[in-house]
Amino acid sequence: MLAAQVPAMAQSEDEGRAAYEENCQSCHQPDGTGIEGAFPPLAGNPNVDDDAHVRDVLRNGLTGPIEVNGVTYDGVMPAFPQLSDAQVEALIAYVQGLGSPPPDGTATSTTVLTGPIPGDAANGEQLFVGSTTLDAGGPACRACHVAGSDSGGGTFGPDLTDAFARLGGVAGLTAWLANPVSPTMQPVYADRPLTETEIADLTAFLAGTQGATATSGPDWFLLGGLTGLVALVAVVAVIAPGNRMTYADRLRSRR
Amino acid sequence: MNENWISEEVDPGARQWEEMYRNRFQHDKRVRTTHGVNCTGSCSWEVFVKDGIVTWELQATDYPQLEEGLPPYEPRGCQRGISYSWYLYSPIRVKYPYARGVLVDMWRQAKAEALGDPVEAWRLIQENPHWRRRYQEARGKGGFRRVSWDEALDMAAASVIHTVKTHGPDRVAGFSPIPAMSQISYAAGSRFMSLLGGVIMSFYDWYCDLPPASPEIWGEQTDVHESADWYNARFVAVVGSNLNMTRTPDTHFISEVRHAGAKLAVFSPDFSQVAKYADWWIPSNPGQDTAFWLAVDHVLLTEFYRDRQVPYFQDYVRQYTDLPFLVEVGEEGPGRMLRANRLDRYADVEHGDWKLLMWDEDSDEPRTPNGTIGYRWADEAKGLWNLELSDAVVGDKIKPHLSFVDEHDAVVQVEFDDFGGGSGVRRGVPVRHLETSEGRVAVTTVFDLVMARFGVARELGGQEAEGYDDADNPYTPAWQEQYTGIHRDTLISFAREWGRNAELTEGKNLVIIGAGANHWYHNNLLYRAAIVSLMLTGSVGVNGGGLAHYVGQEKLVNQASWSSIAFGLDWGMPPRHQNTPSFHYVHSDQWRYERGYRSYDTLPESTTAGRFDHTIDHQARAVRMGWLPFFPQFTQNPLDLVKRYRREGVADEPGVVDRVVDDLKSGQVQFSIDDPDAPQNWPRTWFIWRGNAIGTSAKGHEYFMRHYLGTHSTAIADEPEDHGVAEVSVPPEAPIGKMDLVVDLNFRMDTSALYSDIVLPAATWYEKDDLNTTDMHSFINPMQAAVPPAWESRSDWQIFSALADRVSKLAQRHLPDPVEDIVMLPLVHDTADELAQPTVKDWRNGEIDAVPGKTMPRFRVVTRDYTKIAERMKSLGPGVRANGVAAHGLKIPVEDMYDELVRRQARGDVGMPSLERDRDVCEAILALDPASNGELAYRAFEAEEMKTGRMLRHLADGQRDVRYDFASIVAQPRRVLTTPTWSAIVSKGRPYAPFTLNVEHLVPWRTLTGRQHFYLDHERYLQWGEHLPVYKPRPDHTMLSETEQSLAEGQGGKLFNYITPHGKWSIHSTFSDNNRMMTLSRGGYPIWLNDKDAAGLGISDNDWVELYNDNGVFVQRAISSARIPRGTVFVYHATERTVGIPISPRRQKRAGMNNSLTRARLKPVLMSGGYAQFTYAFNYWGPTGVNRDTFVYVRRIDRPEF
Repeated sequence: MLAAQVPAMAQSEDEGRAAYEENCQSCHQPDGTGIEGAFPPLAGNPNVDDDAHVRDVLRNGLTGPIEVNGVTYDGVMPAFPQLSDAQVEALIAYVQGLGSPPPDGTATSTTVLTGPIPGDAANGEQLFVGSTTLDAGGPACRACHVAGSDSGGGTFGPDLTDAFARLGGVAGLTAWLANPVSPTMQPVYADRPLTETEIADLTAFLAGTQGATATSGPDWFLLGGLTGLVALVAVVAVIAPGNRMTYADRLRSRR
Repeated sequence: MNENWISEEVDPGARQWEEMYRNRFQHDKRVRTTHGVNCTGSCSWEVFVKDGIVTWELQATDYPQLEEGLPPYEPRGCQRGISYSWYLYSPIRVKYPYARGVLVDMWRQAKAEALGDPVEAWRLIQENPHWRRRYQEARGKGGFRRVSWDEALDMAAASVIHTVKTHGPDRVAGFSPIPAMSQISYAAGSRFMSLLGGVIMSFYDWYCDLPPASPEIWGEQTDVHESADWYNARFVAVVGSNLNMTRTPDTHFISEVRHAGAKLAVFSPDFSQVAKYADWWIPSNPGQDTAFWLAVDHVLLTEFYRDRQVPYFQDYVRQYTDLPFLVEVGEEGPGRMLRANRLDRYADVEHGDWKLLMWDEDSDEPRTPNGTIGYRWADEAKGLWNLELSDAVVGDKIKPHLSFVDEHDAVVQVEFDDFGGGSGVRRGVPVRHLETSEGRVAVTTVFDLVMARFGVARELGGQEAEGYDDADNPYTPAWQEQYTGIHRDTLISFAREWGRNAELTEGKNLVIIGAGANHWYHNNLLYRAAIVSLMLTGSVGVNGGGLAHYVGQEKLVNQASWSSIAFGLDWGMPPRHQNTPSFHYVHSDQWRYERGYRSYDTLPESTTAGRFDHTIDHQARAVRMGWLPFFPQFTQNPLDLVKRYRREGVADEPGVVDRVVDDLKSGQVQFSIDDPDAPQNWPRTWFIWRGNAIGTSAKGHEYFMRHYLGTHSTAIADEPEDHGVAEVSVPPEAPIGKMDLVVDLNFRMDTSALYSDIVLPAATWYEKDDLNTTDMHSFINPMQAAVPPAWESRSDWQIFSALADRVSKLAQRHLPDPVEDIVMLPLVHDTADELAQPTVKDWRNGEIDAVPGKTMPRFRVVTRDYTKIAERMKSLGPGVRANGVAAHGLKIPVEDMYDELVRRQARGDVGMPSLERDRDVCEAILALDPASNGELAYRAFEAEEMKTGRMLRHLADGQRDVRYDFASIVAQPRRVLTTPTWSAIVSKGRPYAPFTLNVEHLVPWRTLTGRQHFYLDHERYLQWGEHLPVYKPRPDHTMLSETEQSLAEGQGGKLFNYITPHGKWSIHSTFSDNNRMMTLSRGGYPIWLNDKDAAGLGISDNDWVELYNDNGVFVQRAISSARIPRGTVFVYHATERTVGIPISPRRQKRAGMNNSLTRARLKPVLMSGGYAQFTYAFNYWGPTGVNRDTFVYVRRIDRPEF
């Protein structure tokens, strides 16, 4: 009923393909097969046949476990408010036209969080915190994100401590970092993409922060500082006059 | 990492610490944008972005220069605006959709029970009273839970569909203020509401920003000078307006005009920031400026009209004011203006009731001049609606008598009210006798009435003033002393200089006036008294002269095109516009706590009709007579009603309207206003966006808590045992918790968000494309997305589009077929409705037939297809192509511009322009409005020529090729074009001064006479004694019934007048919770007291104090300052109840906010309608939400508990 009223958007395959390449294919792959254990396939995915569902997912994102063809995926897809209605309609047509996945691409398991991790976690940490600048000049991850408990960082973006698991391990993270599609990251990194080495190193670093809840070892500098502080307070407490009022107390007492 | 950090610290040679300062001002890009905060600044700002993060903002300095000799506008911007970027990444930013946790649990359970159907789930919740109470009581008590956009939209859309189906679309209401500050964001919700059939709530009148005197006198909502024009003034009176504080980016023009030689007088009870550099600081008593200005008028009339005549003044008032018009008069008082069709000569003229008369000196007989309202809506004699002084029927010139003092048939001793003194005064008025169709009548001129009203002695007998020292005679300089506390000598020299300056400069007298004057109960009288001094001195409609009222950023320059989009006119949808003061007064049950206006308004002794009613009685009558809108409209669901009529065989729209009129007459169909507390008449779903409807905009906040939200309240006021109500039903128990769902779109967790059920994260002003205009300058400013909306936020346009998508989706199952809705509309300004009711007659009492659009509201049947709302929201409909855009009663064809827009931004292949992106909406507004499209301005003048018969289109010649688009206003601020949808000529850098088009090109004001009005002869004004400028006393605490309980419960003390002016470190409450502004101020929301008052109450500076009355309680720290007048307490507008609000020791509940102490009180005379300029328009007419007549007790409290 509604579909008949919706203007016949430019549903050319070209427009759908262009939107797909720009926004979808890094995770869902050029042929729509998805990434095993990380991002579900679109080709042969029965949910994709429901226009309204695809429209909702594109507009509002999708978080949490979903089941596709008997396989459960538990990841995060951001909303795409930056797409126009015409692009959304073209994308729906395009992904519905992807057809069935090749028989050998059928995933059977979601566990790809183990296995070899390319890249160097130490370099990745340097990149994350900005000690090594990104080759193309993009801002360091730490400007907006936290990962692990001792990296520090901003709260503008989500906590990436568990990103490795959430975003689908090596394959998923690699795809994501190659083309960050969130509305906030897209304009920042579109012209300043990460190199393959940077992606690998950052993936390795984020694989290591997985499950981190405490500092990896004693922070001798911090401990020294705290000890000194305690000592200082103790000394002051002994030598300072006992009846000194806080500023707040003095204000209160003026009534 | 730690090693790296240490090595930097201990390597001074590297001097890396300097990098911080270099990095601080690095940026990738700079983006022009502004702030949408109803501050009136509309300053152009550059926002600097580094790596996708907004880092800081800076004032733009590239405003075009206006005409030679005027100081430049730049730089504009204040301490508040420059701190804005803090909000984007602040802890109080709303980052994700939130919903009240208890409601989310119910929702999920209900949805499971309803097998996943959201609308069914919502119905289950609403039909379970226990559930409903539970989540209502949780409102404002925390417990928000982060939810997905999907779930939030589902709940909101389900509530909308449920409300539409069960109760009717007019139970869905939307409130957002001040569209000028972010026009696209406003239009997002209002367009959604219009397509839905929901209620769009006004703001300008509710905020008490609307000066009702402006529609009364000029037929104009508000039309004021841009601040550069202050520089053209030579005598400036600043009344109740703290320019430095509230017009911060403009106030430099005041210091500059001092250099140009202007005199500055400041009227302010406190020593305000602007008072300190005035020539005169006149600290008149609070709210008593009316008395001062009436006495100024007395002096002007005496010295510049009686003792000698100034040619400039004489010519001015004859041509541009109603002073020469004839009024019937008798001993009992002045009557109606004499109608032309009462005379033989004009007996058969078209609209003869709406053509008025002057007495021509040469022919010595009454003549009907051009320009009265009958000519505005003429079908026959077109082109005579202008201010030429000629006989509209015969054609010869008229030289009107201003006065009959030298040639009269008799002197009638007329009774004038003296509301201050308590009894009337009789004064002689010279009259001429005339034979009319109804016998011989005595007529006089408005001028002679004014002279008598002001007590100017002309040896006509009666109680004329015996000079300026006659203190017993209103309105002499000596008389005003008792009210203002200002000595007569001060007043007399002020008045003389005022008159003399205008005489020498031809009207360069400027009154800058603000909320300090407009928020009093009798603000219309205060304003009229001041405007009289401007009209008498020929100061209106000249550059540098007139009334500059600055309260609220109300000027939406592109109003013609914008309103087509914002109110769904492109899809032929008549919007349900609601005047919010009436809505809140009635629905939040504030009317139940008082005896109505008769307790605090003052009426003439002679008035009997309606004198002993309740305010709500007048409200109910105003609705049924078509004077004011009111929604919900009927007790029935309007969709069900039409469906029933159709089922019963009613064939067409006229048939449906006839049926509804019949049923209203017989009582089968009832107006909701007649039984406002019945559950079927409650508003149910409420959307709030861009505003703080439950907090800083909630006069009577504690009554909102109880009756709208059903949560805790600190009000202790009792209802009177007998409400004394005649027209409406009063159930014994007032309902608690009328609202099913409150949805707030916000970027900041404010009081409204805190008390809502769903909070949706809105994009900030640096994250969306929008348009922003103001009264204060004549540029159109863009808002631009410097960065994408952060976290999960979205622009308002995108949020309402998403909501429309969801509503349309749910409608496929629940409202799949088009349905018919009957919409009730009041009689509307700038249409022929202005000629509806020459006399006041109530059809319900059988005084006259019930005729829709004439003696009662108009009704229209509209077909709504709820499955198509989303598509219509995003496409500019064909209605605008077919009908053009309209403003000021002018229709401007835009067909070719529409087609061009289709080529530039088509939506698919449906042949309509797209409104999908925020930027698309900006482009459509700019392309289709005469203020930004020179060709359309030219066409608007053509339309005005047809009406006026005057050559006007040449005014747009030089700008005909000008087209502004979004890119051009991004490049540099662009000045608006000269257009008759406004009233000033701004070509060649001339600053905007209102009504210059009227004065220079004889275009009438949109009033009864087409002139500026001294005299208002609506029957209701005659009954109220407000036909002439008068003084009425301020309501005191004994009249207001808001302190008795507090006193009785032993909580009393000394009473203070409670004042909430605008502050330095916030705009309303925005910025007040920002750490930069809190660093500059003391932080929190302190209560300011006079030092002696404070000492008398044992209060020291910074003590915690409790401010309370029967309406509620507010607890904060005190500031003791000699600057505050005694007997007054200040709380700067406005506060939030989000942080730092202790528990009130007296009421044992968490204390409220500044509006906890207020209550709405409406003035019935401002409900008058159906008559010339007294016709309804959104934000133009109706009672205002006055709040300054409020009294409170103050006492110190011990250490507060939180």
